[in-house]
Amino acid sequence: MNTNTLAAGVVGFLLGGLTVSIAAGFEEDSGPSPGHSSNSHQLTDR
Amino acid sequence: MHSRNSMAANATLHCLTGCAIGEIAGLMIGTALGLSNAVTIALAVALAFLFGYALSTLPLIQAGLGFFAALSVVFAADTLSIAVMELVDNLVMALIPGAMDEGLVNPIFWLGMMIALTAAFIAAFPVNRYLIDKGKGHALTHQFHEGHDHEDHDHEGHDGHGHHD
Repeated sequence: MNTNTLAAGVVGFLLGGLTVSIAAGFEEDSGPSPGHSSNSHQLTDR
Repeated sequence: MHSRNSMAANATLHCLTGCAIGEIAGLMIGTALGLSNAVTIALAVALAFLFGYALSTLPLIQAGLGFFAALSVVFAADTLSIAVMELVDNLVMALIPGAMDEGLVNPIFWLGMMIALTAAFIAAFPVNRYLIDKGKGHALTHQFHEGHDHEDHDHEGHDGHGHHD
């Protein structure tokens, strides 16, 4: 097995995890999207 | 001089890759299950050694060595390097605030892993350099790869490094 390929895979996995976790953080910060329910839409409007 | 540095860097990267796979798997499992830091680190260390040894043993078996013979060579060659990596890696992870406490959906976990693995590489490089200078460490496994370098790209560039000089 090529070590460089495995190492690249590890780096890619870490970057992928970082990207997904940052995206999840943005999702939490912005709250549920208006289309999810009418209640959440009202709450964000206030 | 330069070739031994590159050989040490290659050996360190080889060790680090196996360690990283086990370490990341262990920390992910422990963090996802909400295990305590001590249990998570124990799991990560165990898996890091398992994957680190496995990654070094498999090429030796492919090179024609028996399983236990390959394992004994790898134990002698990689144990110190993996131990140093694990010590530094887990220490850095434990010292980064929040890296192990807030789950996988926390960028600090992933950034911490990158910082910890980089620190582990920097710490283990001089160890591997020293072992290669002494004809130990990765040099022990290197003799079994000679003649297989055209097939095994793990060790390309090792030919003619003269680590025994």
